[in-house]
Formats: sequence, structure tokens, C-alpha cells
Amino acid sequence: MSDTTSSGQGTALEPGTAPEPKAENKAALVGRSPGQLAWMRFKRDRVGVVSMWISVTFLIVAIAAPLIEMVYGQSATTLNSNLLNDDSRPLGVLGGITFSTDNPSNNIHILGVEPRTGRDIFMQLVYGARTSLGIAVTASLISLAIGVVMGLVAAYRGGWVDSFINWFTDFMLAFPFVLFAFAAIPIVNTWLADDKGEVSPFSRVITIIVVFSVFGWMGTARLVRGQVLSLREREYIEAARAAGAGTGHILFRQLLPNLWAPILVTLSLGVPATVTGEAALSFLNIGVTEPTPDWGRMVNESVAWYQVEPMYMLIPGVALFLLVLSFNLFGDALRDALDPKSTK
Amino acid sequence: MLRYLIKRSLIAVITLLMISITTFWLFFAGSANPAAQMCGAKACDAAKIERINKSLGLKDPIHEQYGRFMSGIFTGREIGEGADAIKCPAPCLGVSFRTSEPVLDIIERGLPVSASIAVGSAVISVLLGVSLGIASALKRGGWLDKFSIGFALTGASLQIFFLGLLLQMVLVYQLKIWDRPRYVPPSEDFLGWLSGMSLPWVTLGVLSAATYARFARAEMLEILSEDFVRTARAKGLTPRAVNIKHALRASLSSIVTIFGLQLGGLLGGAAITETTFDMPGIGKLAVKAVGDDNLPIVMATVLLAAFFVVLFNVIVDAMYAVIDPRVKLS
Amino acid sequence: MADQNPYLQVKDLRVQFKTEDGVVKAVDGVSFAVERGKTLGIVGESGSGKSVTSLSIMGLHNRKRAAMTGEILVDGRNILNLPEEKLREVRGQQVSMIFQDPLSALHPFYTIGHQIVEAHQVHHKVSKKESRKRAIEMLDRVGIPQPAKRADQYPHEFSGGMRQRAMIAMSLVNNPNLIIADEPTTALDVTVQAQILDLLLDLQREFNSAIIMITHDLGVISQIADDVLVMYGGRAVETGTVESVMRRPQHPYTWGLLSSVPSLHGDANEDLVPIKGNPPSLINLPSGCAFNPRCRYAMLGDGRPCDLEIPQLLQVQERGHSVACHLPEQERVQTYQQDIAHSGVAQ
Ligand SMILES: Nc1ncnc2c1ncn2[C@@H]1O[C@H](COP(=O)(O)OP(=O)(O)O)[C@@H](O)[C@H]1O
Ligand code: SF4
Ligand SMILES: [Mg+2]
Repeated sequence: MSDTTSSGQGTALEPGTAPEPKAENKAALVGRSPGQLAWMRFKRDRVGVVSMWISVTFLIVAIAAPLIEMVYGQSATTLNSNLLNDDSRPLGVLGGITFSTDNPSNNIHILGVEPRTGRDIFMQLVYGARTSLGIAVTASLISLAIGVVMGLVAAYRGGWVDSFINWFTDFMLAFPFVLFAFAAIPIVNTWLADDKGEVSPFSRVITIIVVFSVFGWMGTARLVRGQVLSLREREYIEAARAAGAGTGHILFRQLLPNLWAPILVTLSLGVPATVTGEAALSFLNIGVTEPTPDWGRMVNESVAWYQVEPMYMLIPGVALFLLVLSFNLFGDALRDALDPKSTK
Repeated sequence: MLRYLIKRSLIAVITLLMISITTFWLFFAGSANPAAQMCGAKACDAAKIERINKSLGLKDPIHEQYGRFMSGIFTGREIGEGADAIKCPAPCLGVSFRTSEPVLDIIERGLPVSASIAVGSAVISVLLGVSLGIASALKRGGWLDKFSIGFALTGASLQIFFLGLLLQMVLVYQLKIWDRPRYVPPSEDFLGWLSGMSLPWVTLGVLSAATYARFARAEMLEILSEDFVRTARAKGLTPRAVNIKHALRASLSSIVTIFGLQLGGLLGGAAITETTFDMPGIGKLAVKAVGDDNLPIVMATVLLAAFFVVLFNVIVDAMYAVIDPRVKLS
Repeated sequence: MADQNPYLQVKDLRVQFKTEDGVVKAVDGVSFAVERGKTLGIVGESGSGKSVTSLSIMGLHNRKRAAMTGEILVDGRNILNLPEEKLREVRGQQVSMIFQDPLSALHPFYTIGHQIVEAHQVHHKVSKKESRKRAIEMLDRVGIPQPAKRADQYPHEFSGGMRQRAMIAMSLVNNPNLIIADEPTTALDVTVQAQILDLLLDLQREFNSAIIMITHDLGVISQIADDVLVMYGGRAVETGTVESVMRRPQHPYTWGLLSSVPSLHGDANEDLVPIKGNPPSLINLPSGCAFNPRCRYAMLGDGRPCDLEIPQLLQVQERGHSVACHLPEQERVQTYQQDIAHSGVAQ
């Protein structure tokens, strides 16, 4: 009987030939924090890195718009009727694309000019990015904050507070967002109007940010609530509670640090979602108005021209697509790096 | 099961009520001057506006107006006074400020258009998206999977209005190989309906398919790593039986959920789709009504869209119970 | 008494997974054998490669993602070269598996009866009705009351112990020659655990099957196994008859495991931390003896072997007992007698 297990004895093959890992290597692996490990994984994802740089470029363009204007030589609002023909269409090829300053505006127009106004499309895009990303980043941050607080409170307090927040989340999700936002924004704007009934561009932007923040937190709240419920059972929370730590301490010192990964992912995916939503509203002609440049509105205005001036529609449409795509890719790569088990 | 459904429906009704109150309050309290709208092009004098305000009760306290609105839904009502009175039978959602036509009639004209878009694109998106997602999960890492990931990402990043306009520009106006989007009732001209709806269907269908593909793939991958799938393989079942009978069956409930939620939300997105393709559906109606300050129509479309969201929530919950024996509805 | 051709023979099995973070050497040169009617216990902390070993025997690893070398002979046929269709005949019919957590291992949407019938139908060309009769018979055999009624219930309607019985009924429905039980009682409480082990022994006697009992609990091993294989970091560190390994263990890791066996009077649910420190990462094993960072007898530095050379699994004086440790055998025997047998604690 004892022979049954001794079949390995004669061969006794041992894996001694395998090269041993270098000691420094080992030490490196041991000493890494979860954040560093995630960053190492992220760096290996080529699509993720490229999309990150493209996203960062968009952000820099948005922030540095006035600087770009200085270098480029023309503002987004300069009218160039002298670049248009009698039908108000741009002179020259492909919607007036020119890399030479030898024209009535004395400026290059690397993406051409708008029909009807002759404004430079490149500068419209640059300032449009500022509008889009300004709104999207601010609204995402605010809705993230609302969502985190709602989720934390719901999960942590439990009981009727939890039930109510859950119901309220469902309630907000039942609102047909586009229709409602679309109907509500003009009304909110009338509240913000000054004595002469004028609404400043800044107020309009604020309105949109508010609407997106109010309707954007539900996903985060659910996520945070779920995470906290599963974290809450862990020993270290129990230990903190046993040691007499207050609710605030446990919430913000113990739970939040464990939530940063999903929060980061939510934020990075919330920005492109808001960019899309904002563009859609502008496309419906709600939202920021002239003279604030906006990509969605550019697409909307191009509809009247797109049979004869396809570039006017293509350029903002493609820009929008690229921006949203690069942020989405970046967000996905970030999630994969932070949670290697996720399946994309 | 029945008790659960009743409870869910009750919550749904309360949700709808809250939405109606919020919408009503926001629009009627904050709006400009509806009476002026009713005068149409020829501006009325102050006395006329006064009379309209009075007959419609537009200056009454808001809760009274809301009460009248709600009771109209259940009992119908007469709007206005004397000779100007408009009969609005139950369920009455008010009358258009513009044309004095009952809102319900206007909605009924738009509904077939929106429903056509929704149903057609839903069929395309589910068939295409779910099968693509599942196939790519089963062949993880293969070319189909790579394509599917790319498709899902592109679709998720494309705006329906951009893609719709682009396709119209290229296919309809430049190459002239596709019919211009338009709506004719299928009862009148079935083929015309098909060809007129085809571009919106394809555009919306393909874009939503991206969502389904992404979701179905992730769900299927997750299920394939479950213990019970390993058990099925350990029994000696064929890959086909393992994939279909065990894995697919288990991923069904979440796919149905997503489908229900998307379908319920379609009306909400109709404003963009219908504007893109210039189709006279509910969404387009709402866009126009907002531009016109035609509040009763805005109110009705918001409520209708919310109704569908809530309705499909209840349906999804019920389906869940049918699909998953672990869900005890009580 | 010795069988020249044991039902299962595993020779120098290596299983590696390529992952993003590196190559996981989950099993690294393990050999063992089991005859029919006998039970081999495989023991080790979690993460030591026990489940990966057992899944290899079923041919359940994805061949694209798991690199496997060595030999796994089931009834003389090498599982590692068997085409998928042939493997399916082996699975569930000749070799079957009982999983650790029956709640997640059973499909939540099908009744217990349905799942057992399915397992039977894969390997038998009989009517559904006959298979159902067989399923109910098996449920009865594993001690489930009212089997006909319970067959129509879903897994979530069963208690933990009953669920594991149902799982066993499903695994045994085709009278397999080899049963692999991967921690079948870990999720259960002690009384139920004892019942399940008794049941397995009963069934083994009845069908003369070979059993591999995987566990991290040496108590279970001493109850039902004939031979035992101790795994650490994907390698076999000690193997032999239960009698010799349990009575006269020679590997410091086994000493640690033994000292963590709950005493008869102790609370068995208590989570005993067997040995100080954590099991090693299988991507980056400590050099030399993988156990050296946790071993209080480790001979380190000055060219001493424990972190330089992987100790070979060598037979000791006692027949059929092998140990992989650099300590001289004499010293091991003495140390165990003095240090452990007398103080009763390893660490
Ligand atoms: N499919 C897989 N891919 C990568 N690593 C795996 C896979 N399956 C198991 N492993 C790793 O192999 C090691 C051994 O796991 P396992 O055999 O499950 O241990 P246990 O002894 O607890 O049963 C673990 O570190 C685990 O992470
Ligand atoms: S080889 Fe050295 S480190 Fe390993 S168990 Fe033996 S004494 Fe301990
Ligand atoms: Mg295991």
C-alpha cells in the first residue's frame, strides 16, 4: 500500500533548474503600494497611455485657450465676412481651409471658417473644448460629491434613511433626463435673468452645470453604497468602532480611502458622459448660446449647411467623438488597472 | 408575486405623482406668459389676456391648478368658460396653448412615429448587440472579440446626432443610395414605412447595440468564471451545452434587465433622435413645445416618458422573478 | 497488496498560468498516485496549489492559458494529451469532482433533480424517466429525506449540509472510479462535516472508488485518508502513509500544520492561524526552500542551503515516506521528538 504514494520517489524530479528571481526584483514587488501597482499595470496598457495623453491634450487646450488664441492670431469671435462668397459660403477649398496668411483676414485658418459668419473654426473648437470640458469636469465633480455623500450616508445610516435615499435615487433615475433638462433649462434661465430679461453666458453655464449635477449622482451613490456595505463588515471598521471612533472618522478616514479606486473610475467615465449630454442639449439648441462657442451647437448649426458644406459638420462632430472616445478609453484602462479582475 | 407587483406598482405610482408635481411646479410656476401664447400671431390686448388668464385659471394658486390637472386625467374636464370652452375628455392632459387641441390628441399623432423608431431599433440593437457580446465572450481574445470591444467603444463614444447626420449626408444626399428618413403609417404603405424608418433604425440600433455588446460580453465573461459553469464542464457536458444551457441561461436575467431599462428610457432620448432625422414623433413635439412655451405639451411628454421608465422598471422586476427562482417576490 | 498500476498516477505535474503580473507556478513538479478503494489526502494552506492540481486531473484548465507538463495517467491514459471529446468521457463518468462551495457550484436556476439527471444523461443513453429514478435513488442514498420531493427544489432551498449531499449524489450518479473532493466540508459545521465524511467513506466501500480528499485540515485527513501529500507553494514537501506522516512527521511545515489542528475539546470553528507569516506568492517564490522565510529551523547565510537550493523530495528510512527538507533526517526526528512532542507546540 505504501507504494501508492512513492511513485514520485524514484524520479524525485525537482524544479531546481528554474532561474531564481533576482533579489532586488522581489523587494520591488513587495514594497509597492496598491496605487503604484495599479500605475505599473496602467503603464503597460498602450491604448490606455495614448488615450490618457490625448485626454490631457484636450484638457490643456481647454485651459490654455487664450494662450492658443495669442499664438494663432485670431479670436473665436472675429467675424470674417470677407472670407465668404455671395451665398455666405467660405471661399476656397474644404470650407476655407488655408495655411497661409495671404487672405483678407491676414490669418491662417487650419480648419476653415464657418459659413454665414466667417469665424475661424479652429478657434471655435478650442474655445468649444473649454466650454465642454469646463462644464463636464465641474458637473462631474459636483455630482460625484453628491453621490459619494448620498451613498455613504445611505449605507452607513441604514434603516429608513437608506430606504429613502434608495427611493430617491430610483425617483431621480425615472426622470426622463433629456426631456426634463431640456424643458427645465429655459425656465431656470428665466429665474436667472437680469432686469432686462437678459441671461448672462455665465448664468447659462451655471444652469447647465446644476442640471447635470442634479441628475448625475445616482450611479455613484449606488456604487458607493454597495461598496460601503461590503466594506463595513470588515474587521478594521469594527476595530475602529470598538476603539470609539466617531461616525465622521469612520466615514472619511476609514471608508473613503478604500473607495478611491471606484471613485476615480466613475469620475473619469463621468466626464465623457457629461460632454455627450451637454453636446446633445446644445444640439437641441438648449444650453450655452452665442457667442460662447459650443461643439453641440456647431453641429446643430451645420445642419442647415451640411449638403453643401460637409466640413462644417464633420469637424465639430469628429472632435466630439475623439474627445469622448479618448476619455472613455482612458477611463476603461484606469478601471482595468485598478481592478485587474474586471473583465472590461 | 401578486403582492409584490402591487407593492411595486404603488411605489411606481407615487414616483410618477412626484414627478408630475415637480414638473408642474417648475413649469407653471416659473413660466413666462402662457396667455400670450394663446393669442397666437396677432397680439391681444391686456383685457383679452386677462380674460384668458381668468378662464384658464392661470393665475389661481398652483395647487389648485395642479388639482384641476390631475382630476382632468381621471374624469376629463372643460377648459375655459362659456363659448370658448374646450371639451377635454378623460384622460385629459390639458389643451395646447397654441391650437387649443387636447394634448392627448397631439400625442396620439406622434406616438406611432416614436414607437416605430423605438421598436425597430430595439430589435436591431438586441439581436446585434447581445449576440456580438456573447460570441466575443465565448471566443475571448479572438478577432471577433477585438472587433466587438472596438465596436462597443466606438459606439459608446459616438453621438446619435452626429452619426445620424453623417449617414444622412453621405448615404442620402451625397451617394443617394438610401431613402430619406420619413414616417408613413405602416397600415397605409408598409414598404414605405420600412424604407422610411430604415435609417433611424440602423443608426439608433447600431449605437445601442454597442451598449448591449459591451454589457453582454462583460456579463457573460463573469458568468463563465462562475463555479457552476465549472461544475457543468466537470459533468462532461459539451461546450455547447455548457455555454447555452448553463452560462447563457444565467446571464439572461441581467441582459433582460438592461433591455427593459433601455427600452423604458428610449422615449426620453427621442427628442435627439427625432430632431436628428426630422421625424414628427413625441420627442420632436416636445422640442417644439419647449420652443413655444407650450407648457401642457411639455408636461405631458415628460410625464409620458417617465411613465415608460417606471412601467419598464416594474416589468423588469416581474421578469426577474420569472427568470430567477431565487427571487422571492413577497 | 501493492498495485503495479494505480488507477491514478500523476508524474512531475507542473501547471503555470501566464498573468499580467507574471507567471504563476501554481503546481511545480508534483507526483503521486492513488489506487481504487484508497484515499489520498492532499493538505496545505490555501494557495498552495491543491485546487489547481485537482482541476488538472479533470482536464478542466483552459489549455490556452495554463501550461501543463508531466503526466496524469487515469487508468493508463494521459489526461494531458487527451483530445477534448475523450476528456468529456472521462469527466463525470470515470473521474468526478465534489466542490467546496455547493451553493455556487450548483446552477441557481435549475432544480437539484434536473442537475443530477443531466449529469446522468451525459453518459447514459437512457430515458429521462430512468435518469430521474436514478437521481432520486442517489438522493436517497446520500441521506436526503423525501428525495422525490427534494429533487424538484432549487439549490437555494437546501441547507448547506443537504446541498453538499446533493452535490455528492450528483458526483456519484455515474459510479465514478475516482472522486476528487476539493475541501468538501470546509463550508460546513463540525457535525455535518463528520456526517459527510462518513457518507463518503461508506460510498467508497460500496463502489470501491479511489478518493482524493483535498483539505487544509489535517483532522479530516487522519479520519479518512490512507496516504497523505503535504503541499507548500505548489510543491510536495512531505508524503507518505497517514500513519507515518501524522505520527512521525519530518517536515517543519507539517509540524506547523499539525500543531494547528484543533484539539478535540476546542472549538473547531475557531480560525486557527497555523503558522506565522503568509503563504508565498506563487509568482515569486522564495529562493531555495519556499518555506524558509517562515521556518524556525532554516539554515541561512554562509552558503548554507535553505535559501540557495530547493530541497529534493527524498525517501526517509521509513518505507514510503518522503520529505523535502535540508535538515539531516536524524536531526529532524530528534527535533520533532524533543521540541514538538514534548512541548506540544511547533512555533
Ligand atoms: N486560472 C488561474 N490563473 C492564474 N492563477 C491561478 C489560476 N488558478 C489558480 N491560480 C493561482 O494558483 C495558486 C494556487 O491556487 P489553488 O490551487 O486554488 O490553491 P489551493 O491550494 O487553495 O486550492 C493561487 O495563487 C491562485 O491564485
Ligand atoms: S529546507 Fe530549511 S527552510 Fe525548508 S523546511 Fe527544511 S529547514 Fe526549513
Ligand atoms: Mg482550493
